[in-house]
Amino acid sequence: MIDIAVDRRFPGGPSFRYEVQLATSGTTVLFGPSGCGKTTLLRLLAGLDTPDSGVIRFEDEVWFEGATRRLALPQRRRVGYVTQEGSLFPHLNVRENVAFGVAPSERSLRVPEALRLAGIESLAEQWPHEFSGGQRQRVALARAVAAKPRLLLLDEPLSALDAIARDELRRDLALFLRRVGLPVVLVTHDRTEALTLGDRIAVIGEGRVLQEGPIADVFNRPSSAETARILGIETVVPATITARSDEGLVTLDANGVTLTAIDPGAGIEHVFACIRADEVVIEPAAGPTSARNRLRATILAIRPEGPLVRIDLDCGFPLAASITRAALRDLELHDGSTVNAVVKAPAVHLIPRPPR
Amino acid sequence: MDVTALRVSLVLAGAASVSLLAIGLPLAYWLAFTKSRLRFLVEPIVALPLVLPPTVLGLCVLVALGPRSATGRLIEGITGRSLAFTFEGLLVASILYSLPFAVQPFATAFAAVDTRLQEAAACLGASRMSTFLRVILPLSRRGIAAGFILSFAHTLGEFGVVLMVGGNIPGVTRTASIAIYDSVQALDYEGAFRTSAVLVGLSIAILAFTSHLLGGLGFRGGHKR
Repeated sequence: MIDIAVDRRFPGGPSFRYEVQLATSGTTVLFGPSGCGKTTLLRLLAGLDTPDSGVIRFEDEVWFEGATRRLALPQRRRVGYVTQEGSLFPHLNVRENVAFGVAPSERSLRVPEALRLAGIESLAEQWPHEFSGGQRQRVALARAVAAKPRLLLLDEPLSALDAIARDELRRDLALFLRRVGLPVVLVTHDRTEALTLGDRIAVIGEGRVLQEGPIADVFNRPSSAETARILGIETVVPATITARSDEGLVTLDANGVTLTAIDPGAGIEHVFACIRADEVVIEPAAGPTSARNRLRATILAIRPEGPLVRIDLDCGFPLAASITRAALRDLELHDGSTVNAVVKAPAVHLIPRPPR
Repeated sequence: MDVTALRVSLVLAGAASVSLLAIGLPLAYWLAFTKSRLRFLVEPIVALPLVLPPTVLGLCVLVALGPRSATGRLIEGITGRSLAFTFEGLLVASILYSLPFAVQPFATAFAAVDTRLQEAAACLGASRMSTFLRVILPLSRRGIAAGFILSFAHTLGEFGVVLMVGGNIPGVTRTASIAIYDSVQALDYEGAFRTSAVLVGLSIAILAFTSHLLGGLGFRGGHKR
């Protein structure tokens, strides 16, 4: 467990107050809009920035304690830190970059292993200035894991890449992180990245950690309107593709419920089905269900959200809908009502997830 | 041509620029990275020889090394003799005189090294010393070479300081620039021209090498990396 309760104030700038416990297994995503303080939190964890007050503990080790002025330097924390642009040493080739944090006696063993894990054995004798963004990030990842860190910190590792390189590296990164088996804290503002790579998510907004938990739980049960707004998708449900049609559609099993969606691509079986609340249509509970995403659902809660009303439904999995106040009146909805929830196939966005 | 004086000049310039590596690199590191307010005091002191008349600097050093000052007595107490009018005294003066020519290029080069690389090194377990030796120093090699060469060339050309501190002892403190002055005073223009020609040639060679190393001497702004 990483225990964080710190204040960080930048003179004349923003103030951050983080109180959160992060898991030391799997990947935790720090998610939030740009400028919300995700990178600051990561730098505090790496020891590259110092809080003004509070405590940071890694397992039973104190990394920072404001009251006693105890501070562990980055060198003592043994964390791997990978930045957006990789920060490779320009005067060293790939092999020398990867060997930088490895004791000379262990280099012959650990350097080739790290190169292999990152899939860059063929680049070993090349120089950083020859590389594309994706290759640079692979070298940076290899360099970080070669130094035997106890924790891997990734600061938007894919954000400096173009769309094609990003898709490719995202897939490889998911595989890489699983093979490495280290606890990871990953900063991103990209939903796809969060869902593909994360086991847990900590939503950050306005300089605070708003909510932390398993990724599907947080998406489905945001604790506040602010969290929901930052997440941008109200319903996220793990699903498995059970059939593919010739027309480019797939049939999904989502917690026993059958859904139809656009085929996300061959070879993908395990996905998160993501549905925005304003794409869910509520109808009176009449007519057949289960055809083309027409789901029988029970209303769990009705909450006003500005001019709209948010309705939490149970249709076999938690489903959120957003409708107008007029529609709420016309349909005479109340807690416990049974309705049909309708979602068009293109509105069910599928994001690949590693099987667990 | 005064070969002995040229030899003294070259030995002095070599000793001064090597000493300035030892003194200038730590000083430049401190100036480039310290957050201390003392920097605003130390920086002008280091830069002082750029604007001070060499005779003033020479006078200060002479007085400081002389037997009447506390530093002079201290040095005499340790070494058993005074440094005034010796090669060592001249070396001390030359180091001070050329200090900004070494420290400024060093510090500029250090400060230009991307902070993120230093952070990356720290996260990979490298101590500050190790980061300096393995990251900052290799990435500053052009600036360090420039500082070394410039301090060498600057010491080679000094006149006022040598005149004040060194006296004019042939083979010990009589440098090429002093020898030229003496030749002219003695109406030996031919000797003066010959020694001067060697200095001119040497200076052009040094500056050309520096220019080649840095991709320019700054006339077009900024150093090329």
